[in-house]
Amino acid sequence: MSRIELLKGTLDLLVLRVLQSGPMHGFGIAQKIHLLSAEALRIEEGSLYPAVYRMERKGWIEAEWGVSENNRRAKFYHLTKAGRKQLVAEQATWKRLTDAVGQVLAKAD
Amino acid sequence: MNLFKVLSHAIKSVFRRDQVDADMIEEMRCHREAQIESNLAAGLTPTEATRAANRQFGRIDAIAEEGREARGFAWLNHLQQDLRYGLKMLLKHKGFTVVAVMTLGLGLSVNITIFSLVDILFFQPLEVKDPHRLMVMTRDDPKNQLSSSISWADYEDYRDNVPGLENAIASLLRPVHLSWAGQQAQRNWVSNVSSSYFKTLGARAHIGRLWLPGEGEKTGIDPIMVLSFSYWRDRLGSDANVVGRTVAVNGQTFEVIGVAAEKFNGDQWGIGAAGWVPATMIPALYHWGETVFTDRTWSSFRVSGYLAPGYDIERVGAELAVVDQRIASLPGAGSMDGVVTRLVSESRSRPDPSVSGFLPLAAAVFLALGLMILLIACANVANLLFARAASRQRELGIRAAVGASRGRLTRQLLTESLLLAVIAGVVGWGLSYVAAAGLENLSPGGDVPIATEAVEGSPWTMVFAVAMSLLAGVVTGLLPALRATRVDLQQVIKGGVCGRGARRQWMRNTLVVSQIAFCVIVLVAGGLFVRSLQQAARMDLGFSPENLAMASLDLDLQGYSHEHGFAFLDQLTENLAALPGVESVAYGNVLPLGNSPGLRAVADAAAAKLDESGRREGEIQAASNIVDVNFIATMQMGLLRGRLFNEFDTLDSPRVVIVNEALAEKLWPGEDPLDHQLIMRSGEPMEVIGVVRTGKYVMISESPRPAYLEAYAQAYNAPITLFVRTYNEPAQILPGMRAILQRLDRDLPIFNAQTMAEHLRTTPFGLMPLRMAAFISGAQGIVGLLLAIMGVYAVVAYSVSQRTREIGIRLALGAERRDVFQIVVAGGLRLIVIGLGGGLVVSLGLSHVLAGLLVGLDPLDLPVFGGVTVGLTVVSLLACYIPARRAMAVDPAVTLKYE
Repeated sequence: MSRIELLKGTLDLLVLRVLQSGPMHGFGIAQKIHLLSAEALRIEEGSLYPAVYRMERKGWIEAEWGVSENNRRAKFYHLTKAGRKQLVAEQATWKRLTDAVGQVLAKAD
Repeated sequence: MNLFKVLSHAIKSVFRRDQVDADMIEEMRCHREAQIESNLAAGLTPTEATRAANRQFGRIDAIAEEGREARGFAWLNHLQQDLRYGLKMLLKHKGFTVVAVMTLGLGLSVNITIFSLVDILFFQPLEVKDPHRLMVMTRDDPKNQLSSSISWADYEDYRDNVPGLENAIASLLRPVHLSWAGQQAQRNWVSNVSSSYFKTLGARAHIGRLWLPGEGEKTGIDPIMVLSFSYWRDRLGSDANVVGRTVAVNGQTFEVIGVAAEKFNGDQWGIGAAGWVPATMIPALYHWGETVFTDRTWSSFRVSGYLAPGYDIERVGAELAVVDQRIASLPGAGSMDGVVTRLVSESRSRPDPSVSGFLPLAAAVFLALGLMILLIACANVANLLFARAASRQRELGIRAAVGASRGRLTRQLLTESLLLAVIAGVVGWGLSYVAAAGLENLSPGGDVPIATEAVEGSPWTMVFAVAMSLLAGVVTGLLPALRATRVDLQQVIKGGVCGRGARRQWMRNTLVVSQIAFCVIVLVAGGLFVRSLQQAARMDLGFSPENLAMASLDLDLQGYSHEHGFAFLDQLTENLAALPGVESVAYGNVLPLGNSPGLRAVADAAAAKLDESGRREGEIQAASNIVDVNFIATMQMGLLRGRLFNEFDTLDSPRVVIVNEALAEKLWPGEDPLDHQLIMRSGEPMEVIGVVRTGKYVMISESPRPAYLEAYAQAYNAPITLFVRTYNEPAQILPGMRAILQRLDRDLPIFNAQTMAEHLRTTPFGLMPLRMAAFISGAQGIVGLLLAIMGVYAVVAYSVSQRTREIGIRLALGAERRDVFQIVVAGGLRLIVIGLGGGLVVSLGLSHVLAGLLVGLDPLDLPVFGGVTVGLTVVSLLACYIPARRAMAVDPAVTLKYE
């Protein structure tokens, strides 16, 4: 399956959603999105890290150094309260958007 | 995120940037390793796994840069970097930095100096309640070319019948002799004020009290005085027990009831009176009789008040006009034909309501000229930056190649020019102190007390200085920065920068043309002010001001009787005439171009009386003076017809008067004035015995004003000014004059002891305002010229250095060195001519504006326009000459080989 260009702003949503299930490091986030999307989405590091740092600055996620599953040092990100709120809001927005786009696609001739 | 987190984040990203950066790099490294591991797990060989990870990852430094931006507060990091880098650059190129800082500093100092004057004159609120609602009343009277004050009787009418003016107050500033027990009398000024004065202005006492309700309402019963804080501090050493002490004011005993709060200086800006007494004490203090409160022609009071809510100045003006109409119909009123009474807001009435229309225009002109100079300076520095940007192409190109965005580079360059401008602002601030010292020498002289507090700068000047510096930084740096950062990487890496010179040169040419144009404007303005000063200084004053010393005294305030006064004056003049080096001695009641204009209503004695006040048909306002027998000869006034006063003109002989040509022309056109008699409102007819030429009496800029002289023996009037005509430098006689006065009356205060030339220079009614204008605009002109010349030189020199190769080729192809010289000079000349043309056109407009402000100014003043054109052309050509010489010296062999 060929790779899909992410819509602007969707990356934040994906990262937040992935982090909902627990703390994760940058590589893990990218990996998980890759896997969950059935390998359709590949998050470039060049987009991932700026997005992560931006979300960190906005206070949606926080970071902590830890040890990864295969005993490597890694920086783990977890959702904050604000991050959870943001996730809910973005999910709702996403839902509205896809519903609307779906409706247009279904009804327009 | 809460504020604390934001702050800690900001602090972390600025001060612990290295750690944050390291953190980020470490994270990337971990990520890459994880990627490699995962690739290995997928079955790739170690080399392939690493290569795939690297390929996928891309440039770590680019990600890091983006990551930094995303972290936020990147701009703080950048600013910090830019500042450090900028400082390093400025320190590295010291020559450039010094030139740029001094250039901008000069431009800024001119603006700071002018703004501080404007700030003092227009923006500093008076220390009273609601200063912005305070209004001053003024009367424009077309008959005496002067706006006048208000009589007490008129004041009461306005106070009671103009609802738009709340709580009208009246004050009269007068000189008095104050003597404290056991001390010599001193001449001081006090304000004689209406009863509600302090309450209306919201004044408070520092110690003691101010007027109580009921005080200062009935004539002559409240001998009380409130001292000003500065008088109390400076003259009485902050005596805590001053309340309750008595002081003799013109010989009358007054009780000090309080000292006003520190900053309170009364209702008149810039005036620092010693204190305040009730206006009801005026008859007792000055022997004027109680008619001062009823005589409507005795208009000397300054009337102020607050604009009532819901009113504007026009609406109150209408109410004032109604009252004026009634006043005009009253017997005893002065002629109100053409008189307009109006309100001026206090901040617009400085230093005097009579010039309130003139000053804002003058201020605007000076501010505009100052701004032009700043623009010239900015253009100069922008030019330097253009030149430097060329030499920094490589540096910028490399930074761009390693990932700095254009915005980032532009910001870097802008930071540098802002840094320059801020340093220049500090330099300019320092220079403005030098300028202020120069201006101090030009401040008004004379007898009226200046409140020094009022002429101190304010924080606004600082705000202005900072704002102007930043503006200058942006104006200077923006264009060069935008241009410089439009880098073509390919070209830079290849090593040559060419092909883009033409556009940059165009930019620089435009700058130099506008510089020259601005310079023309500033120079023309300066030239016009100087011309106007010259013309005013050459104006016929009606007497000869050279070799004339003077000193004023007031025998009335010292309690002399008439007989005693006459005897004193006889003895005094006799003694003065005996001083070595003295040609003659005289005295008169009014000092020309002094504070007390002495305007009186006079008419032909044969004209019909209009009412019992003495008003007659054809009455005119004339400048009066009362002079002794030697006055006309000593002042060298030039008697045109008739005779001088002599010792036979006494109280027992017929009253006589000498008039000037303007008065004779006005009252008796085409007739012999010696056949006529002149009469004032009160008094006997005076026989015209002589005619003198018309001079200047009230203001240097006045048009011919009717004037007349009475004989001192027939009209004793105590305040006098002595005039001593000397053979040599008049200043040398002043100590001798003082010594004699001291010997004859040890206690008599003397003022205005100076030469006539000095008086004319410093009096606000003489040359002072023009000197001030000429000084400022002259300094502006010099600074502007200097900067513009630097600009021309820099641009021509730069274009020569850019064209070295072209010149080399021309020479190699057989061009004469003379031709090269011509090409270079012609290039410079083209810019000069375009700039001159543009500048002259704008200056013509400006000179028409100035002609409305300045004495006897021809808006097409040929010497100024011609001088500026020729002078600027010559100097600019000189600025081209040096680079042109350098171009001639180009060695084709060397240049071509180098290229």
